[in-house]
Amino acid sequence: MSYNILIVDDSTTARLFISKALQLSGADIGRAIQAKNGLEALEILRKEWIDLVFADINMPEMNGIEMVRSMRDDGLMKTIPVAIISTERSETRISELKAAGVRVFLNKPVTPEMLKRVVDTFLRPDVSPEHLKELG
Amino acid sequence: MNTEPTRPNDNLSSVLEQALSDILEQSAFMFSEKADAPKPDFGDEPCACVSIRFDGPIHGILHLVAPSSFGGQVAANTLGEDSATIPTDQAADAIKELLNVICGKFLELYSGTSAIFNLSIPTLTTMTPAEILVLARSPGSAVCMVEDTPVLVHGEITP
Repeated sequence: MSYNILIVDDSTTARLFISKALQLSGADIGRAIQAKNGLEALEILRKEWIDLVFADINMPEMNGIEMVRSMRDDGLMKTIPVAIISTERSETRISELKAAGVRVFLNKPVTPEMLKRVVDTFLRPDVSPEHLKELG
Repeated sequence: MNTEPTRPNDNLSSVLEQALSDILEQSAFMFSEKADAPKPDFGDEPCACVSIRFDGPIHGILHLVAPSSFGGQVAANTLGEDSATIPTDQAADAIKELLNVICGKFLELYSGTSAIFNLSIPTLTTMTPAEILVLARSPGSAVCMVEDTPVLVHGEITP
């Protein structure tokens, strides 16, 4: 079974890198759909089946924090796991994001191995979530 | 993790140099070292200048200045492609994203991980050779060589 991923980042380079890294990681990816900001992401989430979202925080129009809060207020979107990939390093903000429902937080730059661990943990029931702890 | 309190204008250029080196190596497999030449050669053409502002317990701005070809090299290395195939807009995006990530690392090294910072969206302009020379001589500047390409990073802090 392959999984659909939504990649949300205002940087084309970041989106392409994450998309490529996911393909290289060996994770079972169906479609890797891209959005430039939180607003575009919410539109896609309303129309497409998405299994996992990778999102940046610092984006124009709607940032990643606002996007996560909108998802949590939506009955259909609130169960979709979100992993943040960001330059953010503030422990306070990371705690706030996790309290808002973000499941895992990765610092840029990320590696294919880090992405695969996130995909495996959220989308493969046979993989233990324990190994996510070291990702933060 | 480093949770040291903020220390405005202390070791700014060396922290920037470290952030540049760490991020280039991790994200683009490119290696950076401090330039030896007293007057680095940025050529006769205007260079790309990317800027990002940060706002938190301290406020300020970071600039990254490099020849216009540098963005294409960064994009090519990051994505594992030939730099000749990188479109101009993607090269511009790559250098903006590079400074965005450098800024995150810089703030962690400089200010620790307890404070919250808001970052602006990076902007791209150009800088003439004369302007580069002035900036390179300013406090808070570091010039590095990244695989034979000169790269200037500059930071200004407002407490």
